[in-house]
Amino acid sequence: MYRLADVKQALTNKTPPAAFRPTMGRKGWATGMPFLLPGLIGFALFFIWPFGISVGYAFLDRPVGGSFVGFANFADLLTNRAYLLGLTNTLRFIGISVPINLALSLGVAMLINKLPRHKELISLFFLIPLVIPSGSMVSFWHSLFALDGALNGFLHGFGIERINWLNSDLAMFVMVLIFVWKNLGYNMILYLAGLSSVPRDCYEAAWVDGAKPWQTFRHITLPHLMPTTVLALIMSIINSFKVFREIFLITGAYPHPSIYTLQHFMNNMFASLNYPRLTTATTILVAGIAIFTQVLLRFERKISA
Amino acid sequence: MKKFIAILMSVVIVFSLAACGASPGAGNQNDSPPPEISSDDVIVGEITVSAFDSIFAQSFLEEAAARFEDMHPGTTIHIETFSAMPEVRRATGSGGGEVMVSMLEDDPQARTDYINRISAQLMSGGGPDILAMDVLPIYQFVRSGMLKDLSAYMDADPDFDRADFRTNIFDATQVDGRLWFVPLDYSFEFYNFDSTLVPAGQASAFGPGSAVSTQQLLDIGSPLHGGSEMLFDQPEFVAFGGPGGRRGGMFRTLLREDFSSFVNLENRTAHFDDGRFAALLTSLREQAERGYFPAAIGGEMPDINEMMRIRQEQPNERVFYKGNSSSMLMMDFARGLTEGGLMMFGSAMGTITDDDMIAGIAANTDGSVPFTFTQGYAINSNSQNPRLAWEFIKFLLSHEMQTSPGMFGVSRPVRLSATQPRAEMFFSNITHGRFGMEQTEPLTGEARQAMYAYLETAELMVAQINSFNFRDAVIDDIINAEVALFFDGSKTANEVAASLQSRVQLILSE
Repeated sequence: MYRLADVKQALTNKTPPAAFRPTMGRKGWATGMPFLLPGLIGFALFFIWPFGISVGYAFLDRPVGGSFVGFANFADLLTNRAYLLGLTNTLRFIGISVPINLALSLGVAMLINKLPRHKELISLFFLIPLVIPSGSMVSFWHSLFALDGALNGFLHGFGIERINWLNSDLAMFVMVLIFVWKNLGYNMILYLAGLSSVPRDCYEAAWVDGAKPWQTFRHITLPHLMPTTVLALIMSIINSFKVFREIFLITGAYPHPSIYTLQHFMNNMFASLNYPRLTTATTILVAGIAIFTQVLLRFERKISA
Repeated sequence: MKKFIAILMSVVIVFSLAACGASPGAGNQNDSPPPEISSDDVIVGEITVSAFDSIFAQSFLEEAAARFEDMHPGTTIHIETFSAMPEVRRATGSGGGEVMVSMLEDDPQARTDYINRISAQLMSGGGPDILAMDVLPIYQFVRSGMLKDLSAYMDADPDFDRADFRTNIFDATQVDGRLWFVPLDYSFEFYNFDSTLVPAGQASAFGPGSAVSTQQLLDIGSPLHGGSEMLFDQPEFVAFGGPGGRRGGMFRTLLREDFSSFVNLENRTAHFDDGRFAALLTSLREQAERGYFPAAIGGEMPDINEMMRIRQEQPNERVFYKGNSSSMLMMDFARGLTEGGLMMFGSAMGTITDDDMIAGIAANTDGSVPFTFTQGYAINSNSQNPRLAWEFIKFLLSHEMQTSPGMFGVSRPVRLSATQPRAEMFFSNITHGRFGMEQTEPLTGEARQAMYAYLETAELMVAQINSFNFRDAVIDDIINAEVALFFDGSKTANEVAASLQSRVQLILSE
């Protein structure tokens, strides 16, 4: 039984009183641990343990019979031109592609949400890129953007000089395009789910008050979609690292410097046997993503409260 | 709960660091103490030898493994090769007859896959005990501590005497004063000149005891060029290539001679943007337009019949200088000993005529004289049985295996005592109209005389070898791809140079 004072406090305070917080007593632990253990062991064995080993390499000077060098690998990495280029390009790519992807997927989701019928069919259309294997699309992208490819052939018809899409600064544009093509459907589905959870009476109240579409979007849709946006943002950033597969298959291990990303750097470190540098880069990346995700989740909790 | 997670994490980290200390490669490193080797050591166990090349290495290694296992009961040598076998096609020869030709195209992707596979194995503390350094990036492997110091094994082994070998070949392959892989054979390139085109005054500096670079020959030959003949018979650029990425025509030759000034693997710097590389491309184009050498050949490798047709239709122009490999030197001295099919083979490769004299062994721009090899082997630092691995490498260097017909026929063996027997096999076979090392019959007097002349000439050339051009296949592939864009007109020389500077420097910066 809850006391009335606790209920009142729960309604007024952001932090619920202890009585309302989920707790796990000694008995609860004993019951819960057997269920948790398989997952915990698997996670420790297949994620924490290998990652721990790789973190160990980050403090050695060489993979075979290396000696402890403290933070020398970290200092070396942060002055490495290739790493810094990869980091800069990765941040630039995320900075360009993720907002474009979020905006487009929200726009498409809102348009689909307004459709009177065939919503599922059109949603499915946007999901197709998600299920097409990367390898099977590579020849398409390559034949489209190659120097003697379809796009240049089309432009040539208008008297425009051939453009080296894959081996010039424009390669970043190709990379963003491939990312958006691949991930639009994923975020769109998240937004569709988010849109369906916005209460109808909010829109009705806005309509009664004479709100314009932009005002409705700005003050009702967007705030209600904030948790979805945070989730979509995290997933987009994680997915932005996955576009490497396509780019690697199209342009190889050493593409034009404008699209050389952290994944290229790490992949090449593996190929060149520089395991300490590879694991140092991985450690920094994991730490960076962990901190960024935590900040985003706190932000989401703060604005949702 | 937080306390529990913290403890769990600490345990994981502590165990992880402990695991690093006990990684499979620990204890095997470049600075490891010298091995203790005795003639009385019992050689037992299993090792694996891995090579990319399936053509020359596989049969030779299998033969060596079988013989070695017979000599050392209780040992097993596993042989792994990776590349595709060459495709055998039929073609119409110059006489109208049908000839069988084996075609092997360079496959950069297969090379990359092999390097990645070996790298992954080495990273996980395993990998083959013996690595053929035919396509693997030698410099990176040495720098990463992945190879055993073979100098230490040579010094520690009472049964091994460096004086039995071409020490200048061993010395040329050293990195940091140590030998990390042993070439079993070596080849070199040399130049012939047409004695009717080059004035005697200028030709006096030429000869088997001289070393000449292509650039030197260009400088000498340009004022002599009259327009009706060519300075070189190689095209300015060839877009396709054979095994090992050997593509590029005159461009490849000129780049190879000055490669270290463009790419410094030791200091990790690229120098394509100082104007010299763009000038190299531009001058090549201009020289081709002046008729110094044939124009670039682009696109994919043509069909063998098409290649034979192009060859037969080429005007029989006179050429000032012809670049040849050391195998052609042997064939040059064997001219007149045989007739028929063998000379057809020679003409397909680039003819040496009676007017052609030796200008000198091919040198780099800095005067150093490089060599190449077909088979070279190293011991993996992770090997669990380095003693057996060394013993097997020693066996590959033995007189028995160095004179084996299975070893690539036209390369020269590094063991001194094998040089003459192999030359005898070649001259004996060629006298009887055969090309190969399978059968030996007594040499005729004429053939013996030719062989001694060959050995004497080759000795003058080989004595000058003092360097090995360490290359990186990834950088080579990028250079070839970029330069092809210049020769097909897609990019200017400056654009190519700028692009190469950023891309190659990126690789070196890693």
